[in-house]
Amino acid sequence: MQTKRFAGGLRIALVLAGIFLALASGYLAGIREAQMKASGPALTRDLTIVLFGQTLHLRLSLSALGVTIIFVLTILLAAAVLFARVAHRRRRQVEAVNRKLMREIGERKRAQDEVIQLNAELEQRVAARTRELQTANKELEAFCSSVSHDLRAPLRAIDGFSDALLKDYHDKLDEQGQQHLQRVRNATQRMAQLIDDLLSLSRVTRTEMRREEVNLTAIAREVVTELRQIDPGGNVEVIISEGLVAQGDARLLRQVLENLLGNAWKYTSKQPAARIVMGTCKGRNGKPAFFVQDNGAGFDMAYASKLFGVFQRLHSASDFPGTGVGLATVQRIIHRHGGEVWAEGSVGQGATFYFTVY
Amino acid sequence: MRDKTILLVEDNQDDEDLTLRAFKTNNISNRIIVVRDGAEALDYLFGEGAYAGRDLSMMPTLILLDLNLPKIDGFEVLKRVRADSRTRRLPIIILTTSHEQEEVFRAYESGCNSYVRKPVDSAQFRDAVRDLGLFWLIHNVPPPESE
Repeated sequence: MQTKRFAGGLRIALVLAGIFLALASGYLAGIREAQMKASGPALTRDLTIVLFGQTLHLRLSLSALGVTIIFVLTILLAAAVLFARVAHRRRRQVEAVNRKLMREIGERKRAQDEVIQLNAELEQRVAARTRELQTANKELEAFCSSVSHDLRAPLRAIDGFSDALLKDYHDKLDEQGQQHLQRVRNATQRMAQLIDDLLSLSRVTRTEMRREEVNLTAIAREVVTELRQIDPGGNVEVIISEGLVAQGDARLLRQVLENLLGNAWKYTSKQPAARIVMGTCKGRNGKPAFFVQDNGAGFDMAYASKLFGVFQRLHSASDFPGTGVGLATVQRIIHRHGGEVWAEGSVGQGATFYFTVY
Repeated sequence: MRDKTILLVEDNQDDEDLTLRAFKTNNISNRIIVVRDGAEALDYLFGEGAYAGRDLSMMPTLILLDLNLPKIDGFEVLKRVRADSRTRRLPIIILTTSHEQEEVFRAYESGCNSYVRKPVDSAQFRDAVRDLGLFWLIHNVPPPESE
């Protein structure tokens, strides 16, 4: 395409050059004749031309020199015309490419603006959601605080005044009356425990998790020391492996051990030779798991799926007191750690609780 | 020796009766001034409102402060008592129902000296009041009356 245009331009330039040459030769030849007539021999000039490294010495008459100059000028003019045409084409091409580029830049800018706008919208939505969540969390906090205060306060009055009746009106109440009041007091204690357990269950999801290396061996030993202080009469052999370490929230994992070791302690309370073992083993998926094993009352594996449900109990409160919230709390904490908790056992043969923490 | 009085800030009549009863059964016979809300507690301490003209040289040896109170809550009472040079050194014991971590944290941040959760069990409640009385009225050395 370009070569074709170039060839067209060259042709025009050559034709122009020819016309100029012809006109110029005629004109100069006329002048020379006139000069010859006027002054005898023609005027001449020496001309040195360096062409392709060769030096040419020419003696030209003035008229021939004029012709040569005009010829060269014509060629130069033709070249200039040609160059102008090519440059014009080039410019138009560059302009076309520029226009295309401008269009692309415009499109890109629009796309970029769109992305920026979408991002801003997204950020606004995230901020709005965060605000909603924070509000919901605050409301939950307020609710829990209210439960903690307002549900417990009447219980204290029920228990306190039942106790006052038992003490101040002791001789006016027969044995049955006193027993009734004692039952009122016992029920109040259970209710208070239930409120505390539910609050602690909800706290698991309300509080922020701080991951760090947690020494489970040390925590387990502290928990057992506390259990021995609360129940000094219990003759329990406790074996806790050395060097049990997990990555997780120390406070929450302490709650797990308090529940599992507390359960083991509770359900071995009727064993003459109670024994609790805590250590590590290979878990269900081959990954290491921690376990807490006891030789207590155990449970029927048929009900294993019910163990971790809220308010689910496999023993009656008269056999073993409890609210049925402890293991639900354990499961919630372990799930928050991305781990698993499961149990094995059989009636009268003890139970083993396994958990993993990642 | 100054008269060791206790300021009990308690809005719940049941809790007030049970606390007074617990003091009585434990033979703690100090004078107990009962106020019903945070505003009344501040009026008493600073001799304002209904307590205008009260002899302010007579400050309680001990303040038992509930957190959930009408008008001005326990946290605000704590802050204002700690901000005033006349009352900033008074021993304040939070005696309340909840022990939600957030509240315990805020109470200590606001400058309480001790935080006691009222047990639901009346025997434990009696013991808690007895121990409180023993410690703060007998064992504890109170801040000097004036600098």
